[in-house]
Amino acid sequence: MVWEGSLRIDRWLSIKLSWEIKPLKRAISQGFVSIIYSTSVIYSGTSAFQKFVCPLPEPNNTKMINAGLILGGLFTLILSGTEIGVQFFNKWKASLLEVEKYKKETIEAQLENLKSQVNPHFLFNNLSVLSSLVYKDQDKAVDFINQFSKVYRYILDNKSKELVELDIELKFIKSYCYLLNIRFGDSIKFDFKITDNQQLQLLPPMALQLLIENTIKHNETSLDEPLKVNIYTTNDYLIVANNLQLRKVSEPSSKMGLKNITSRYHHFTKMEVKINETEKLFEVHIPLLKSNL
Amino acid sequence: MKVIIIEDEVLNAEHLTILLKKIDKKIEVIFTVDSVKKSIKLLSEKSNVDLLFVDIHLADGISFDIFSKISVDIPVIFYYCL
Repeated sequence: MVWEGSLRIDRWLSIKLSWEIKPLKRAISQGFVSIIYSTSVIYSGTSAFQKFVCPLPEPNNTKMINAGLILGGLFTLILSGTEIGVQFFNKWKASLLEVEKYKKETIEAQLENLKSQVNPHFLFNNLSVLSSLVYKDQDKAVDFINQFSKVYRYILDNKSKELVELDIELKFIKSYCYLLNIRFGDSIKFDFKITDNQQLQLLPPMALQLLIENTIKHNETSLDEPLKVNIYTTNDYLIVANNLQLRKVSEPSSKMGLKNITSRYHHFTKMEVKINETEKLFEVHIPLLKSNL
Repeated sequence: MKVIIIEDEVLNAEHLTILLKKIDKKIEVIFTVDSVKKSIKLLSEKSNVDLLFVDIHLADGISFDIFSKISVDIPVIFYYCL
């Protein structure tokens, strides 16, 4: 009866006052309530035993209260001890698993970045553009080399970070778009509308780059039908929108990119990555996080 | 010699033009087009072409689609990643 009651008290308190939020308050109130409860149960139990079954050898009220107190305290200690132990062990196990999962996803994302960026294709395409530029316009070729090195520097500096400020990612994105604009000419158009006060909000590094790369990967880019990519912010969201003109033969895709971004966000916020697709438009909304996180 | 370049990246087409001019000043690039659609239209209209340079990857598909729609009797040079 003492055991069962104490367990109930423990459960009831778990709902009212959790160990994680106010551990001291919880410990004090649980100790207090449980001891009073067990003492009174033991005391009334022994009194009833004395009254109805058989008298004890030395009926002594103070002794009985003392015994009740000691037994009650002991019960409470053992019960809370095991209960807390089990609870903490489970929480600890769960958080370890969570951390492992997160680590794995981050590493996967890093690998994806490395694969796509240091990917020979990206390198060769840009080198081929560069060799054409050298013939045509040396000044532009120098610009191109500078922007190209900025892109690689950013990737090397930030690939292992969890979050970066929007303005830093944007600087890199501008260089990245410069490369694309030289390569694709007027068949791709970028338009940025970023509110000033959102420049310091955070996002996972290379998230924006991946979204832009996806627009080119999946859509046609021709002079007659240029691909228009709009990058803009609304309340706490960064949006990449493009006119939908899907390639007939699409490049092989692991479809991991978007999924990966979505799951990386799960570790930082409850806000969702939203995808909005209509017949003519494709939009991805990614949350911008406040820097005090 | 009259040449048509089928290539979706303008810069590559310009580069190729320069290279061809270096080899022989008489080579004349009469058109550059960037899509399958435009290539089919152009090739079915033009008859005085001597040689085609064709990139595999075009703005709206791959260049083999052109030659499955129409047949040409002039030499074609395919290239990839100029």
